[in-house]
Amino acid sequence: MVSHRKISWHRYFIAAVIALLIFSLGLSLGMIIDNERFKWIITQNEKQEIDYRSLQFQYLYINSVLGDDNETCAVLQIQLEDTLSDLGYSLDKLLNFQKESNLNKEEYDLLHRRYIIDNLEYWLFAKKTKDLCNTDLVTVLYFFSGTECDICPDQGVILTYFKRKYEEKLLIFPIDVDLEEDEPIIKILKRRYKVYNYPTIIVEDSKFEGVVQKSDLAEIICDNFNDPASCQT
Amino acid sequence: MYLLSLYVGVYWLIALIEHKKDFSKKKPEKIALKKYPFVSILIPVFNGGNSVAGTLKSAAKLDYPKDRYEIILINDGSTDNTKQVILGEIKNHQKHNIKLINQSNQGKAEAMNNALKIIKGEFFACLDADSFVEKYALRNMLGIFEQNDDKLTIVTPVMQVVSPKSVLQWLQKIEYVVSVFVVRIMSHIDTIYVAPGPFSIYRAKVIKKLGGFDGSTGTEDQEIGYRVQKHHLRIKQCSEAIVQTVAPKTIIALYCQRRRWMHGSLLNIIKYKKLIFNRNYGDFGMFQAPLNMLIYFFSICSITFFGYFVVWPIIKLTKNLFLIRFDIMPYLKNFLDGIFKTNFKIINLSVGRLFVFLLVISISIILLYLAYQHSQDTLTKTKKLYIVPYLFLYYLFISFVGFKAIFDVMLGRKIKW
Repeated sequence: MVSHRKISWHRYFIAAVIALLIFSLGLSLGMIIDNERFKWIITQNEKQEIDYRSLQFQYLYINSVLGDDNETCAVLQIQLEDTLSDLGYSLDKLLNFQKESNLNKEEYDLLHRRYIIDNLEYWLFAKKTKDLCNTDLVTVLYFFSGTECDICPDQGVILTYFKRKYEEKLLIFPIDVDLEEDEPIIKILKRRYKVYNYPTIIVEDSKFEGVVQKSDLAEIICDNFNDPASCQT
Repeated sequence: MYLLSLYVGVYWLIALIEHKKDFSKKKPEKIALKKYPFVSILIPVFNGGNSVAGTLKSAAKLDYPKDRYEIILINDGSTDNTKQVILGEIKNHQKHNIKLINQSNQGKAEAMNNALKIIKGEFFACLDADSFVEKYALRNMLGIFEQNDDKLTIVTPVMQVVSPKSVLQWLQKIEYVVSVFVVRIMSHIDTIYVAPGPFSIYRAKVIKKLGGFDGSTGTEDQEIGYRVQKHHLRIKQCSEAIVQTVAPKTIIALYCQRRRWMHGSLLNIIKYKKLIFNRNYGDFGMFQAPLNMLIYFFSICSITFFGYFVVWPIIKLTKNLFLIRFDIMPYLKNFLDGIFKTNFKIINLSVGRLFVFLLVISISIILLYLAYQHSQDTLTKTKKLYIVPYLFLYYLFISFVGFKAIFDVMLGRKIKW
């Protein structure tokens, strides 16, 4: 049967143009906002670097000029707490966002390296401050792999729980070992603490391999506070 | 998926704008006919003892000369009191021309085919035994036949859900309002592919020539629609003919009904696959047939998204709660603080994706609004709130059924009427 049925091509065409316009409008808006966010991340990173330099300078000043003066220690401690609570709050979220956003791999890797270096600088600084001022805080280095470790997120959840619980008194520094080829300090730390499996956590200077469950970790963390008895409550 | 949904929505809106004259025209309640062709009304019944009396009464009350139509009831091997109810009603309507055919259980399509052998009408209607036709429906639908040429083979009515009580029935009422509106648009661009069981009217000679009904797909009303399209014949909707139908009350009943529809629909798509993207079939081949197939793709996408964005996070959350032994106090302590501190710049979501998603929802809401404006149905303010679960949960349910239908068809499972 010969057909004479009508195809309204204009309708297909107009619908396609409108749908594509709306769609690309959405995508462009998304890209513009993503770009804004990227700029903001860069600013945040720069701010953190300056914060760190400021802290380092304060530390140097206290160490070399004043010694372990109680009053200056208290000032330093407040500074450290403020900076670290900001750091803990924003850095992991930043990293999550970077993973989801449209950054290219190179940009992402650079930011990631910078994040690890920032973290480790703070870790070192926190340790020194603790030694100098006997600050009541516990530091945790958390070695994990995003690619070769299925159980690592479980340790992440438990650590986040304790971070929420003890806030600025517990400082957790996550280290993604997937970046060890790019960042030599990761290798140095792995060698120093003999880290071969993931997840591994270093609480102060003690090493724990595998997922440390909530009840065990509570005990380990509390033992490292100045007053373990009050921490358990 | 977003782009395709957008495209379909925009396409319908353009078609609507092209035919806006018809949509804005106020139509008479009762159309005057030049002549009164003889019509056979077929009522196939299977265990419909509860509702068949009402259906028969509504058919008997039609505003049409009594000597110009006959009612044929086909009892498809019912095991309840259907037969007694029908015989009682025949006694009550002795002035009407009513016949009863009893057959062993063979399914609706065969029931219709058996009746087709004895009908006298130039036209015949199929009226499901759970539906009730309004009195001007028949004459108004015949008016559409009168205004068109012989190629018009089927005229479909406007279906409404009769006295909805449960939330589920209200959701179906909204669904019917939307689908009736979309079918009205489809009627203008000749892409209707289903002749619903509740009171579609057929040109008897043509249907007999096409070989009657085929129940092999389980949805003979859709199969005949595809077959009519395949032969370049036409189907139109009459927006002035209203039929009330009973919507399933329970989720299981609804699931069974939709499973049969979606399963049958997929079988029909496979049966008539040559029509898909076939330019010889005009807008039906280029738009509607591919869209009918696309619905299953949407089902797969919706279920996948639901699994990924809802089910998986819930599983993860439960596992995480177990890891912290359900001690959520530290999280609650910082909860409000967290909300105030949250910077939109670092929330994990793609603004582009969200924007397009909102646009798709907006197009759905526009269609819903227009559908409601043009429907004879009314929803109270509180009932309008059902639009929210309709948009999010009901679609998901239908997607799930579609998803299941794909597996059933792939595994060669059969669904009974």
